Amino acid sequence: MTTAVLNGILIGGVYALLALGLVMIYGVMRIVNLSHGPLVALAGYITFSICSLLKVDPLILLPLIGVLFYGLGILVYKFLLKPVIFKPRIITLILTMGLGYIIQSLILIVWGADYRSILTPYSSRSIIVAGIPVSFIRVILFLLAFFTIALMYIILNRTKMGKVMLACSQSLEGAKIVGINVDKVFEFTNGISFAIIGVAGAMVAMIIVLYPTVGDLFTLKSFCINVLGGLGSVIGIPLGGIILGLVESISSVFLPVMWNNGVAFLVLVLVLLVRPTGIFGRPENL
Amino acid sequence: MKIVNLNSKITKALLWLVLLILCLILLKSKEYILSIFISTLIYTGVAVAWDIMGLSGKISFGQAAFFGIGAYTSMILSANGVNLLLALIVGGLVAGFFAITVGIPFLRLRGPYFAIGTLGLANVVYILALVLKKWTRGAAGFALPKSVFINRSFSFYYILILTTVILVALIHYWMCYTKVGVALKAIHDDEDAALSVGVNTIFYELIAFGISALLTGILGAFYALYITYISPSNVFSSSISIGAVAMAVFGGVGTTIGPIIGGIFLSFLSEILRNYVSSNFSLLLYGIAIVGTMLFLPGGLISITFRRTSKRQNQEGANNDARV
Amino acid sequence: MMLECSNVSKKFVGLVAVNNVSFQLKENEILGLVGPNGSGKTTLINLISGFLPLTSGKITFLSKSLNGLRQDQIAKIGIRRTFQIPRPFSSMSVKENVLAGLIFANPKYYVGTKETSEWINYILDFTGLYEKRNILAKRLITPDRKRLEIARALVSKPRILLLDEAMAGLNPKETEEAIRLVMRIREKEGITMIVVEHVMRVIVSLSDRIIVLHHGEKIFDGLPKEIAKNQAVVDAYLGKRYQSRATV
Repeated sequence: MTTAVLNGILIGGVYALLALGLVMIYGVMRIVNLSHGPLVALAGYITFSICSLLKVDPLILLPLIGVLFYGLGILVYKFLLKPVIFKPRIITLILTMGLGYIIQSLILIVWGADYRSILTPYSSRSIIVAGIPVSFIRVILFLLAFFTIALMYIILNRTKMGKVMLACSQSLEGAKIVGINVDKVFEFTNGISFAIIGVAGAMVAMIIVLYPTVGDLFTLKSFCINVLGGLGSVIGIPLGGIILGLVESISSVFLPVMWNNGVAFLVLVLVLLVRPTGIFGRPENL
Repeated sequence: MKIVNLNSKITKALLWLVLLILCLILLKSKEYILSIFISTLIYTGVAVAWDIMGLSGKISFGQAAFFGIGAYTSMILSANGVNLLLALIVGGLVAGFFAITVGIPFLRLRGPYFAIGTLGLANVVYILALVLKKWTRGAAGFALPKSVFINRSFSFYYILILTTVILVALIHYWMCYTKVGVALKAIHDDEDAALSVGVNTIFYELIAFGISALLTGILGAFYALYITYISPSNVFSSSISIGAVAMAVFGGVGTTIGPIIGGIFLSFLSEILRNYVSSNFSLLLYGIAIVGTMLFLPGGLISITFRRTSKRQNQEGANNDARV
Repeated sequence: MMLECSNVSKKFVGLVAVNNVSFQLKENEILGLVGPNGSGKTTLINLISGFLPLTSGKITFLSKSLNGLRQDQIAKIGIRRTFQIPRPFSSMSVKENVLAGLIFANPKYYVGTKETSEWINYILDFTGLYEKRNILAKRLITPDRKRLEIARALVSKPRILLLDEAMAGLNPKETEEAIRLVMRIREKEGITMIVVEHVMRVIVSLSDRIIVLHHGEKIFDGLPKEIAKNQAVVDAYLGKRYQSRATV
C-alpha cells in the first residue's frame, strides 16, 4: 500500500508537468487546448518509435522531443491559432478539438491500434526509498519533472519573457497598452507549452501503456489537475498533480483496473461542483 | 460562435430538396445504396440532435453516451420480446432521463468545463458498459437472439430511419422558432442577461439537453435493432461524438439544415474513405473538416448563403426572427 | 410600500460594498441613487435584482421577501433592471431582443401573436427604436444600445424599473433625450423607478427623492433641493474642505 502511495506521488509529478502545459496556454492566451491529450500521446508514440529504431534510451531523447514540440507549437500557433485567437472562444475550443482528432487519427494511421510500451532495462526495477520499495523509473521521472517545473518557474518569474507572459495572463489590454508584442508572446508561450507537453508525454510513455485513444485520458487528467489546483494558478499545479496521482494509486488498490481512469473524471466533477475555483485559484481567472 | 439567423427561403428550399432526394433514393432499392444511406441518416440525425444542445451554446463532446444508452436499452428490451417501436421509444426515453439526471449538476459548469465533463461522461458510461456484464454482456457485445429476430427489408429500415430523422429535424426547426429557441439563443449570447430578462436558464438548458439526448437515444436504439449486434466499442465509440460535432459544425451550427448537409456530405466522404483506404481516415476527415471550417468558414457551409442577405438584414428587414 | 430594504449588507472578501443600507420605495416614485464611483450603487442594484446574494439584511417587494430568489424569478415578479454597460443579445435583432425581454418575464404574451407584436412595436416606438427594429443588436451604436436596454426592461410592464447609469457615456444631447425618455416612462406608464447616476445634475432634475451612498453607506435620504446643502454629501463628492456654493 505504501508503495502505491509513493508511486502515486511520483507519477503525480509528471502529471503536474503535463497540466502545466495546459494551464500556460490557457492562462496567457485564454485558449482551452483540447488537443492537449492527443499531443501527449503523439509525444509518447514518437518517443517509442525513435527508441525502437535507434535503440537509445528514452531519457536521452527528452531534450530532442522538447525542441521538436517547441517547433510544432510555433507552427500550430502561426497557422491554426493566430487566425482565430480573438474570435469567440467556442471557435478556438472546437478548433483545438478538431486538431486533436487529426492528431489522434494520424496516430492510428501511422502506428495502428496495437498497444505499445517503451521498455528499458530499468523499466521494472525498483529501488528502496526510506525503506519502501518504489519504481525506479518513477523516481527519475519525478526528479526530472520537478526540475523542469522549477525551471519554468524561474523562467516565468525571473526572465523578461516570463514576466511578460504573466502580464498577459493578468491583463491583455494592459499588456498591449504598454507596448508588449502580444503576438510574439503568444508564439513563445505556445511553443514552450508544447515543448513541456512533449517532454511530459515522453515521460509518461515510459510508465504507462500507449494506445491511440489514451489522449482523451490525458486531457481529462490535466484538466482535473488544473481545476484541483485552481485554473490560472500556477502554484496549485504541482499540488494538484500529486493529489491526483495519489488518489489514482490508492483507488487502484481497491477498485478494478478499469475504474482507474474514471477516478480522474469523478474527481474533476466533484471539484467543479463543490469548489470550482480549486485550492489556490482566484475566481477572476475563470 | 453565433447562432446564424436562418434565411428562411433558402433554408426551406434546401430542406425540401434534401427531402425529395432522400425519398427518391428509396426507389433505387439496391440494398447496398440503401444501407449507405441508412448509416448516413443515423449519423446525420445524431448531428441534428447534437445541434439542439448546441443552440444553447454549450458544446457536448459526449453524444455517444446517449447513443449507446439508447442502443443497449432497446437491445435488452427487444431480447425480451418488446416490439420494435416501443423499444425505440423507451431507448430514447432512458437516454433522455439519464441526461436530465446528469444535467442538473453538469449544467452548472461553465464553458469548456461542460465540454470536458461530457467527454469524461462518455468515458465513464463506456466503462460502465464494459463492467456491468450482467446486463450488457460486456466487451463481447450483445447480439439480438435469433428467437426474436424478424427479418425485415432494407426498405423498411430506410423508411423508418428517414421518418425518425425528419422528426428530429422538425423538432430542431420548431425549437429554433419558439419560446424555447429564443431562450436558448439568449442563453447562448449572454447567460446573465438571459437570467435578467426572466429566462430560467437551468430549465431551458435541461430541456435542450434532454431532448438532444432523447433523440440521440432513439437513433442509437435504431442502430441496435438494425445491425442486431452491438458492443461498447461501437456504440460508445468516440467517433460518434466526434462525427456529430464535425457534421454540425461543417454544415453550420445553429441551423436545422446545417447538420443535415454536413452530415450527408461527411458521411458520404467517410464511407468512400472507409472502402478505399481505411476507417482511420474518417477520423482524419472529421478533424480536417472541423479545423478547416473554423479557420475559413466558421458558420459552416450554409453560411455561404448568408453573405448576400446580411446587408439587407442590417438595414431593411429580412424578417428572420421568431415570428414577431 | 413597493420595495423595502432593511439593513442590507454585501461583503466581498476584503471589501464591504454595501454596509447596512435601509430605505423604502413608494409607488410611482422616482428614487435617485447617487454616490461617487465605488460607493456601492450598482452593487445595491445587483442585490435587489438578484444578481448577487445578500450577506445580511432583507429586501421585500410588496411585503414579500426577495431573499434567495434567482434573477429570473425576480424579473418575473416584476422587478427589471438595465445593465450599466448594455448587454444586448448580440445574435438577435432589436425586435427579438425586446421579444426576449417580454415573453419570459411576462408569460401572458406569446410568441407570434398579434397582441405581442403590437405591444413590442409600441415599446420600440416609445424608445425610438422602431426604425432600427431589424438591425442586429451587435451593430447598434451606444445610445441605441442604451435605449435597447431600457426597452427590453420596460416591455414586460414591470412594477419596478432599476436603471443603472443609463446616461453614462452619452453626450449632452443624448443625455437630454434619455432624461426625456425616463420622464415619458413615468408619465405614460406610471412605473416606480430607481435611477442610478453619478452625475448630480441629471439626478436632481429627475428624482422625487434621492439617496446618496458613500463607501457603501447611506449618507443622505431626502429631497433633491436639500442635497446641495448637505455637508456629508458635499464632503463625499468634493472632499472635506470644499464649501458648496451650489444652489438647486
